Amino acid sequence: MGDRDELIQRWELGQADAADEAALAELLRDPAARRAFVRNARIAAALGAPAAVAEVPAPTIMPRRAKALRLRRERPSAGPRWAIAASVLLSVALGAFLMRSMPDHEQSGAAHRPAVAVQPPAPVPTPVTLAFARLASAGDARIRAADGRERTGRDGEALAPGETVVAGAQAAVLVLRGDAARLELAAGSSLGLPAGSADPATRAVRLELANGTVHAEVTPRPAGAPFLIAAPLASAEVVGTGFTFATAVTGARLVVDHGAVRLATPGDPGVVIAAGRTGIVSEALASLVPATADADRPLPAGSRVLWRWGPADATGWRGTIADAADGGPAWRSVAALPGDAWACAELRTPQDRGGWAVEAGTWLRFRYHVERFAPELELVVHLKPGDESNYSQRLVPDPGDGWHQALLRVDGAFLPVDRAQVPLAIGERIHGAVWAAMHAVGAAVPPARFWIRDAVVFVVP
Amino acid sequence: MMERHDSFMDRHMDSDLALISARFLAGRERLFAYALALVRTRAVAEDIFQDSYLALVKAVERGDVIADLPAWCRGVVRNLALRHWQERERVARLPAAALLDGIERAFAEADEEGEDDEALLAALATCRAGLGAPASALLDLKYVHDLPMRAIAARSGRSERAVITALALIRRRLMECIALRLAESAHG
Repeated sequence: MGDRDELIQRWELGQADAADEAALAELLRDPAARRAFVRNARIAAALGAPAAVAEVPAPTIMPRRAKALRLRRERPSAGPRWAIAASVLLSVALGAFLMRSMPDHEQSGAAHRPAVAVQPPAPVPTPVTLAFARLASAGDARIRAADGRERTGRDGEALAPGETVVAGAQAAVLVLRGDAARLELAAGSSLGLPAGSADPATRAVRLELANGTVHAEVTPRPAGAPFLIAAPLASAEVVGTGFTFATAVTGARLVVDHGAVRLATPGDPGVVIAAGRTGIVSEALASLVPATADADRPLPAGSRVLWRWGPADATGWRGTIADAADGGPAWRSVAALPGDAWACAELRTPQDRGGWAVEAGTWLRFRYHVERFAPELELVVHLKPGDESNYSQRLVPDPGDGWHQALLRVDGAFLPVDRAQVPLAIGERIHGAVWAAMHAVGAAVPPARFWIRDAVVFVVP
Repeated sequence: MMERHDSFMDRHMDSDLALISARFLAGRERLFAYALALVRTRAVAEDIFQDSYLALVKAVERGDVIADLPAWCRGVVRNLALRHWQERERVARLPAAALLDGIERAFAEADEEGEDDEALLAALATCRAGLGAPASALLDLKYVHDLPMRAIAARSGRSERAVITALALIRRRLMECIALRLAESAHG
């Protein structure tokens, strides 16, 4: 094998060191090497299909055999999810959670009711009468029929639309027809299969999580066939394929194992939560973090505001995701929890259609609070152009009670994630911002929850 | 809740998005290969591929003008790969920009040249079928099951170094066989 092919393969097999990479970069100046590189990459991609499929020539990568799918779904991020990305995004409604992740004093119930009335779920047409799910493992679950009668669940029992599975002290496992999904219902949780839960015409599925937690492994969905789990306070559009969803009265929590899930609430199209991340929706943050007078300083005289995010008044936090029904600010937080393989908590603004352009003398001011501060924690602010590139600045957050204020120069000061290190230039159009609390993977730090109260981008004359 | 969902679905079916999605689909094999060439882990490449489509949906919703869709998608994939390395893996050393530029250029040229997909995959299928069972099993562990080298070594009872060497040899045989097949088909 020539040096060229050896280099390409070392790169592909993850064995290339810095010298190899430099040599490969040099090699790729040669057109023939570039052609060889692409051919090698395309073959590596196609080799992901098992041999039995590959024996049938096809113009594109074909779905893998069921056996391969099962094997891959056992992995934390697996399955041919790339195929689903090109189909219509799926939907999962999301309810509340926070009870588990919030301290006791936050779980006070009625004081944390959402400010905006929850929209009732729209009726789903085309009810079906066929059983479309079965109890793979009943545990000590009870099955509640539409007329309210209950029976003890049995392993392998078929379930019909209109029935609700109520897990007892043990978890229950449901499998949807055609292995469309495997649902593990945690002890004490209730999952309803309402009439019309399965639409045979579109293969859409809609389930209702009345309370508790469900972990779902959803196989890739055909286009136009959303898989939806509804709960009272929020919703998520599932792109695919494995996630845990929990509901309680004060918020919502979604853990995405692999694939991606769109997390949304009534009136807000939401945000996609990527694999390995956790989405939390809470309407209870106002009482946690009192505003301080120091953080409410006005902008410098003569400043011109380019962009604002958050409630305009400073009377207190009410910027929950449920408040965004009329297109107002949408607040969402994604938290890293102990044991998570990754170490980043995110909070992102909605995408701003028009965006704003960086000018000379542009500043970003935002107010934040970090709960359970740890020295290993960094707060990273990303400003995002429309092409998903990232310009960021890092800071060590201030610990302690109350809101803290950060003031960051924007033009020439935010640097791209790419090592090219070309700073954010005047004229670049920014469509959104992301705050991320990060700590080193493996660092023993408490859950990284933080809040951004508001943000403003302004130009100082 | 559902109204928003329906609204999203309606938007999704907008003609602009439908059109651009069809174009995206037409180039998905190459874009996925590009993502895989960058990150070299299938699961990560799948996530990035998926996220690139979501970015495209957002861009269409914003009304962004995308003059060169394949180039735009490659740019997004590259950004997402960088984000993955920096934020998820927190790697100490990112691949050199020159290398990433070279890979990008290679795929851009391949798009323009338009190698015959069907012939390439047919040659791969034929050549793969000619491999022995042990070689096929090793390829499956690496490319179908996407296992890391350490896990492949453990499963196959070899050292990690031996696995890498064996995979390189198998890939070389495959590449040579494919080149031969393609040359034969090109000459009728």
